[in-house]
Amino acid sequence: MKQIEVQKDILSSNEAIAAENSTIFSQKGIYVLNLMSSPGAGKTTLLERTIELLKNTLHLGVIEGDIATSYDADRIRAHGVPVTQINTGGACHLESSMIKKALTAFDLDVLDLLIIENVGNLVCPAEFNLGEDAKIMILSVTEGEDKPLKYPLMFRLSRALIINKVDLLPHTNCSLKKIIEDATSLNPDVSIFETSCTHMTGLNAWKVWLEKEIHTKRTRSIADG
Amino acid sequence: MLTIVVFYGMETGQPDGYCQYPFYLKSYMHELSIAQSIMQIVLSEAERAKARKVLKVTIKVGELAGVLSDSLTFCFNLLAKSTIAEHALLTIEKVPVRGYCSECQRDFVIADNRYWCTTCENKHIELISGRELQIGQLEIEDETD
Repeated sequence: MKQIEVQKDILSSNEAIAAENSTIFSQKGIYVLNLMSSPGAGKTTLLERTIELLKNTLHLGVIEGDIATSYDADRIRAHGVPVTQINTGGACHLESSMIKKALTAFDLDVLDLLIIENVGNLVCPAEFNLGEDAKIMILSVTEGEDKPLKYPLMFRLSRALIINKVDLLPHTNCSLKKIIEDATSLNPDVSIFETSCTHMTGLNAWKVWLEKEIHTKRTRSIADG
Repeated sequence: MLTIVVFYGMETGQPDGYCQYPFYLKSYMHELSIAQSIMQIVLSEAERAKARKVLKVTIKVGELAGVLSDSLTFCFNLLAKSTIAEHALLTIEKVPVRGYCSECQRDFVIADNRYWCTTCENKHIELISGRELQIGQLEIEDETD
């Protein structure tokens, strides 16, 4: 019998491809978002609203991740934005190799912003880096205030938290204050937006934040040559 | 080497194929994906060491990783079938979540979701452990055994 010291990260092959993706995004000056939420939190609707706010000033691309169907990609395509659907065939998250492959569908030289909509799930997507600039978490108030503490990793890693469907607050017993307190205790630097995609509220603050992020990355990419 | 490959189709390109996992694996998807990565590393390390058999695999899993030990063991055993790692014992060492406060220059265990320094209550702490998903050691039988 012999013992071998391996000391290797289990997800190292995903990390290696994520780093390759990230290099491509930096070289091309593309800002990349990884949108994560549970199913039904409003990711696709928020994405549609974001596209409408930005598509006249920026070149956008979208990668849709779902276990099955192309429903979401069809919705995005209707906005006149290039979109690729990845069907994971049962897997609960996107991996960096899937993104690398999906990139061949885009003209990377013209893209300013690439938005990846991950599979609806609050656990696995947080573990698998895709090479993105920012993970964005969307939580709808109908899911309840307990979610940040139940799924701490995802809230800890997100650069921004969008609390969606706030127009429904009067109809729920969800405490917005508790969500914000718990999310900021897990992640004191998180930017928080309160939105309603039905009533179109809170979206401008999100747009301004996003434009600033894109601008910062582009300036850095130009500086780095 | 037995590997369950995740095939996925893309609308804009030629699909690679489409394969559904068996229904009984649906609820273990997170752990299955991690077990696949473990198995790939184990088999390649075992091959490099000219192992005849893998007896034990020790892994470290952080408390924040959201991995269920029972599910991971189930998936590992399933993937190990018909490989040299069949019947290998998967030992899972849980790693607690620890934070470091640069103000107090000390580290501490984070329990009950208290993500702040236990001394000065500073919330800008660094996570120094708890996210591990790491293969530690393998025990193998080689030609000399």
